[in-house]
Amino acid sequence: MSEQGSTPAISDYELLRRYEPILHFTKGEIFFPTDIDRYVQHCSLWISHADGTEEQLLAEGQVSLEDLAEARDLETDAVLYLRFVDPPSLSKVARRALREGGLSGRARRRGWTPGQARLARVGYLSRVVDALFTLTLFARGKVPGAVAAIAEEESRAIDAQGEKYVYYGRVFRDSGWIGLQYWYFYRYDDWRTAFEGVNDHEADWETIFVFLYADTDGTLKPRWAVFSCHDFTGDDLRRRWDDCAQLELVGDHPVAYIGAGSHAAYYRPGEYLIESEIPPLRRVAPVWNWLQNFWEKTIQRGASATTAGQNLFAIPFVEYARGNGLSVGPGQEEEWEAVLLDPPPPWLTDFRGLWGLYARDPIGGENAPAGPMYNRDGTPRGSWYDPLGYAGLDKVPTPPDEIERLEREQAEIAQRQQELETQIAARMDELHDLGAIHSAMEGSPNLRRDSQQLDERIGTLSVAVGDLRRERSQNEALLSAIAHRLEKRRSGQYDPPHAHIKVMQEPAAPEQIRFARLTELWSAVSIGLLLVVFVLLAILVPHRLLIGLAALVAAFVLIESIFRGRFSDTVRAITLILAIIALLVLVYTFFWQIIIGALLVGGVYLIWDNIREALAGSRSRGA
Amino acid sequence: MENLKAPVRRPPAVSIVVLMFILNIIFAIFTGVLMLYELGVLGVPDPLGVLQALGGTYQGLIQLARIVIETALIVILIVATIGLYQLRRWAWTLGMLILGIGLAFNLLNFLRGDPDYVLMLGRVVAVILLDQEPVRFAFGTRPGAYE
Repeated sequence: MSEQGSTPAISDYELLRRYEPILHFTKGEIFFPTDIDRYVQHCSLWISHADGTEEQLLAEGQVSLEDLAEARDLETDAVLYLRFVDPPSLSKVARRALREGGLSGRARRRGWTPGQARLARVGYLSRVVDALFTLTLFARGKVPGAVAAIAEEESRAIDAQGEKYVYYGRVFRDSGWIGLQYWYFYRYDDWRTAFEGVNDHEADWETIFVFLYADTDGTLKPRWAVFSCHDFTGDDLRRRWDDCAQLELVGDHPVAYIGAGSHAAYYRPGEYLIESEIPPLRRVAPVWNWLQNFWEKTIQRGASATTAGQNLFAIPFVEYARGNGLSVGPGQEEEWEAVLLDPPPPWLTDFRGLWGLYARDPIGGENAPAGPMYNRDGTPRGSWYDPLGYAGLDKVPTPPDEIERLEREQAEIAQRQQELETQIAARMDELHDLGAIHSAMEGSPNLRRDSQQLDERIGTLSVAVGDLRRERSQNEALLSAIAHRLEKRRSGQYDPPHAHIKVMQEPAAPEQIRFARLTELWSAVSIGLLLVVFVLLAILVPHRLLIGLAALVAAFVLIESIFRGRFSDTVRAITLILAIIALLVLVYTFFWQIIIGALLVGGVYLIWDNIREALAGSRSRGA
Repeated sequence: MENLKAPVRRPPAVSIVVLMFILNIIFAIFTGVLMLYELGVLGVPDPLGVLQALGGTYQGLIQLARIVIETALIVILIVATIGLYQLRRWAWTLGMLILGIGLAFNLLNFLRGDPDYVLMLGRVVAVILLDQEPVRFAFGTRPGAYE
């Protein structure tokens, strides 16, 4: 591919290099974007059959990129995958644990410092969901803990032969936009084991886009940057090139802050509280939201400051995108090696398998990802086949195109307005004629049937004229809006840079992550302690278990509220809930008495009201 | 500097709740006196001696504990009532806490088959009154409230 139109001198490769992003990593990160060639050479190729058996197709050292593209007949539900780390033997794991004093804490040894406890930043329900999620790891397939440590070792061994910082780029053109897509391959994602995150998996593919357009004079202008961030898609991912508050630029290079371990990209450095949704709980969340809405808005019982805007049925995690580690990009400590995916190589188009260990995790988070073109299940990946839709740009024309489209639309509507004027005048003329005839028929009983038919015709015509007038009125409003928009566009004015963003991801403010040590400690132990005391209750007072549990939860909630300075609000909420239950008990117990009482009161009121009205009437007549 | 804080009028709902709390105090004092009378503490020349004698047995200790709790409850009720009357912010929380605990016991007794509907209704009414927006505003427990 080469550049079309008035800038033929710039090749796609040069375009990629001109806008290649700068990535700032967090201190403690060990896995950086690198080449796939050496990774694949260090992998073995496997098939996981539907019956649960694993079959090695090619051993480590025998796999090449060409092998990945080879067509293979696989049974349904079989998964083809690479394996970077061999199944860790128990002795190897034990030796490592003894030598390093445990398999966790690798990032800390590399200089990473954890932030303040993520659990202290969220409420109880989120903590319960988090505890359940942690417990599911025992039942779900997951990447063994030692794998991350061995992956680190093997990655270091590869890098000892020469470090490479690589991205794979492609350039596409769609609806006036020129998209530059940068793909970054990481050998391992150690978010869970190294940075207290959600998951671990071998291999990681992340992407960043830059969208350009050709201006009226033919020059290429960058307009949007889009950083991939977990499973988010759409408008919220996009930042405008002139959005100085959100998008950092060094020359023509956008700057991304990479989440430690997860490799998600952020626009600003800091610690992000993110929510990882659990698929089975997605259905519960709307019900909870409805209840919350009913409580806060319908019966106006006030909002809770701790849960506002937070999905309680998602696991809260802190993403560390501090940007205080290695920097890669133009003018940084390390520079990029660029690989243009043109034409798309067979490993990209034909290998639908996973780029690392298939951990048999039904949720998917612990399974390695597929390549840039595919999802884990082999279906096409949205960010590859529909990049405009992925970035929410499918509805956004380029700036010059927008003016052109608005002008065209304006002309079409103006023409339609003229047609409407003519039609309305003609029909009004007809309507007046019919009206005059209809009036003339008044007082002639012999013309009654004709008069009725005419009446119907007038009615139909009147409705039609009304419709035309409504359309004309709506068109006037639309024309006015278009004219206003065109005026702004022609004078170079654009919408505020954040206008398209619904949920802005912002790093946590210092006051949001500053908690007293006691609060942190309480947040860390509360759910476990609750479970222990519950078990004790079950053993000691089994006949009062439900009541005991309710009292226990209430006590824990009150203690928590003291730590968070929300004691008064919590007392109010609990008391209101008890009052509602008590009210329901009373209504249930005295239902018929209440109905009879209400009817009696209503009857007495009606008598009093009517007598008062009657007396007032007689007084005014007397006066 | 001129004090711009406007004086806050006591909402009628607060007066009603204060009245209910006073009735509660009278009832609690009456119950306490009755308890002391049953224990033989009242109307004897040496009530302290009777109390000391109570401490000697297990049952007596339980009775003593009941006396202490009842006395503490009356003191807390009096403090809350005075606070509510003076529109103190802490009194609103204390009042809601007392009502919440009372309702919890009401519901517990209902489940045990020993309901006290009158008390339950009284507490529900008091909670509704205290949770009125003008009341919360007067106590400063709503944003923008007078403090």
